[in-house]
Amino acid sequence: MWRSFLSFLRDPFAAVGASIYAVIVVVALLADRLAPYEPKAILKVGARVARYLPITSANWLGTTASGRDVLSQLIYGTRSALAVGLTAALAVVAIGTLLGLLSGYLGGWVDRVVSWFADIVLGLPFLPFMLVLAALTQPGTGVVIFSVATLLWPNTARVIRAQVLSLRERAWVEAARVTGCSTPRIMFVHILPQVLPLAALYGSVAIGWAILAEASASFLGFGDPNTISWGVMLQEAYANQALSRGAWTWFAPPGAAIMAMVLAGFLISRGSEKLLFPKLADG
Amino acid sequence: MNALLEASGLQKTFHSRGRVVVAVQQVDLSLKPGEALGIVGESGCGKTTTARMLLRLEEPSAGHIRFDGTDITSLQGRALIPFRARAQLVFQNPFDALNPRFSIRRSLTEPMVNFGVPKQEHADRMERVLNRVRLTPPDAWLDRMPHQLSGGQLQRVVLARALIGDPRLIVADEPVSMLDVSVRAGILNLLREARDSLGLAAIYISHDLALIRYVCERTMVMYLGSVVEEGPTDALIAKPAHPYTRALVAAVPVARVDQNRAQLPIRGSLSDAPPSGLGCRFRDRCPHAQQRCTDETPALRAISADRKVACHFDGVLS
Amino acid sequence: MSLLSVQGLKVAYTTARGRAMAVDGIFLDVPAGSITGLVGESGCGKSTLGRALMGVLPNVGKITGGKVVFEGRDIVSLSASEQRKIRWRRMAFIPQTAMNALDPVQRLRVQMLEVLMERGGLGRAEAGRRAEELFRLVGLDPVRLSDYPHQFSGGMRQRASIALALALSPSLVIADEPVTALDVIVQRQILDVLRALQSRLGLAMILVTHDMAVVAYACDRVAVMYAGQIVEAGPVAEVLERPMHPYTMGLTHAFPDVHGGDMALVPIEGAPPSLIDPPKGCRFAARCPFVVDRCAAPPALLAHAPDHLAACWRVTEAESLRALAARPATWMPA
Repeated sequence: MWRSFLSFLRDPFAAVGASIYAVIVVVALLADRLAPYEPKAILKVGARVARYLPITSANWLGTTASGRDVLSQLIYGTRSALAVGLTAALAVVAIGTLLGLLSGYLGGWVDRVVSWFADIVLGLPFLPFMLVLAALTQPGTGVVIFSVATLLWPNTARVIRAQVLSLRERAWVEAARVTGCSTPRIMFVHILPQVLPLAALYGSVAIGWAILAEASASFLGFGDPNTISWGVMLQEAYANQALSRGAWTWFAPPGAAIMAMVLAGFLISRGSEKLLFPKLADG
Repeated sequence: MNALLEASGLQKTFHSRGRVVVAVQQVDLSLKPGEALGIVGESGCGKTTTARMLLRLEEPSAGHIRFDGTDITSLQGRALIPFRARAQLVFQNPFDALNPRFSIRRSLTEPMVNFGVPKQEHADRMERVLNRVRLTPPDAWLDRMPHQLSGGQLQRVVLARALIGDPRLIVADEPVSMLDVSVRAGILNLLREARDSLGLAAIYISHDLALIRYVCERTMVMYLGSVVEEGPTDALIAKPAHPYTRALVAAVPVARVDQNRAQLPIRGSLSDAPPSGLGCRFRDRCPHAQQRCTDETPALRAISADRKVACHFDGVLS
Repeated sequence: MSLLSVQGLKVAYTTARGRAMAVDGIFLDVPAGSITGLVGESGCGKSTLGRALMGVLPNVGKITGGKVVFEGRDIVSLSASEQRKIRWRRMAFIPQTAMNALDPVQRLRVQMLEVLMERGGLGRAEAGRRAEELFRLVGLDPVRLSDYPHQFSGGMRQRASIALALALSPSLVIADEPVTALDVIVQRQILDVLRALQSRLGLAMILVTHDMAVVAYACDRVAVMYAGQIVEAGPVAEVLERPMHPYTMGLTHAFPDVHGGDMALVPIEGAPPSLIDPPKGCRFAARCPFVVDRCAAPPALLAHAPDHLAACWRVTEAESLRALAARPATWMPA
């Protein structure tokens, strides 16, 4: 396991992707030490609120319309990004792996029902689904995570199913049957550990997706305005017409951060292709 | 003595692209405790499917299987466990037969847990089976992973796992074909030994009559899903009654010069066989085929006390 | 003079754990018009040798020394393009799985014509006639030239790949385990085809196999390989009946015989040595029941009877060792 992880990192795509994630994690953990200010503190210059400060040595990325430090918000934003991303990814992986395992190993009607649901879900457009859901319930990160989990599991389920179909034919799975293992035991003790790396890969892609989804929802005003997230930052910047004021130090950094996260997911999946499908790379 | 394993009218049909393929047709079989039966035939003759049905790894389309007096044909789930403990399988490919993430200890412990062997017996049993397959001292092997073992060592572990529940029947499907020549004999000798000292019944599946002869006193020859001949191995090799058996015997190469240089008494290839239906399915490859072989399907019938053949001419043509 | 003479050939594989000498100083003569069997267990270097002669080594493999004199010329020292000209034209290769030689999406006629016209320089009509002739030669109906490989059974595919190998009338054919994946009857039929071709066309053939019985049936000469080296070589009858090397003695008792008496088989305990750091002396010593102090030095491959070579220090005692080797107890680990 450890060895395959190391060989995974030898791929340049995967290494860059993993480094991006690593940086984000470190920043999120140390946010309260790294951030120069309280993200919500309203800074003053003399008696005046320090609106739209440009880049200075005190405020590396300037300030917002309400006089808050952009860098500090960006740093604290990693926490909500990770919280949303990891929770959603975990949900995607859990649902997708479970359903993929069931439909691949059991086949028959289970497989047909799962495929049927997957087809329906794949037909749903992501943003409208999330917006309708947010409008009907209470807007917030819960809706974002739920939407990502509900709409993204079929991709994971499909690859897991395909993997399980080939694992099912292995002699050691048959050996498990002949030595008296129950079907759940074969699925969860014998087969599941073999598909987990693949599931983790799809999970890492889902992190990027979830952060993008959270940003979109927040930007459109369906986020939780009390949290500090990159999406909320963008929304505020937009509402205050930061673009036309040329306050790019306000909206470019959160935009870049979101892009970096999505890119990291892509790079990791691209980089692990060789590891997971060695034949693909040879051919 | 009562039979340990008895199968009657075993049949397996597959449906593929709207066509019905008969993989195994009307196989009857009976095995006494401690007896070793070989099933020979070429790939696609149904020998592996038959073995898998006998172990309830494949559902028979028709027929019944009795083991130790119990009908096991339709047992499911937990009801199958006592049978699983008593009837085990040795795989063809030892490199694929052990979970690559399980240590040898875990691979041996799992069946014991499944079969309800009391925990305090586990260590004893592992030591016993590993000694039996000559992986000694047992402690040196228990914590190794499959990828650290050679093919011959893996096959010994597979055999140890098969023996750990004290089975009464072992089915071995081409147990040495994936192994290096120098270690094959070791595995075959272990299988013979296990049978002699534990009184195991065994079924060997192979395309190699020489191997079957080394380990089985009785042999069944299958051709395209049906049994065409059955009898004591030595007699069957010395005086084959079915023309197909004769071809199989003649085709086995021997590691001595000037053996078997005679013309093979068979024509064409398996793909020339007529579809299942009326008539003998070997007729197009048989040097003795006559009109009757097209008109009438030969039944498997006794030609002496212990031999059966499915040929209209009962071997009189040899 | 030999058609092919391999002189001290070395082939190294670069592996993660170091350089493995898969073929470590091989001497082998293949006379014209005879079938030479190359036997040994997996990892002994027999396939590597076949592939090195044919110039189809995998990327990590490299010839690091020795000569391969074929039809009077050392082909190792030739340029890549000249090597290619000789290989495939004068030498041909039959892989274990015919599907590796055949293109699954092309009709066999197209594949045969391509070789005959592009490499052989024949005209279309002549190439067509030759393709049919080749098919008849290997026992296939020329009508089947219009088929795709997947429409063939395993045995027919192997016949087709033999026909393809013979297209340019080579003088030497190297067959790598050509019958291993086949059932006994088909195996025998393919061996019969190879023998018939050898006697009709006067071909020389190297048959790489792990099976002594295949050698006994199909070959005139045999070379036994162990851990990258040849340990015994000679005419088949001579080597099988009077083996001089303990490894060969073990191999001849390692298989059940369909007609023989009820003799116990002898397993050769242990495994071949690592080729990355092989033992200094005799490489079989660790598994040999007859090992003595002298075995710490490497024995040379020398002729001990006319045309019968062996690399063993105790070759003069071969007769008494043979009697011991037939007993399973001899091979039991101490």
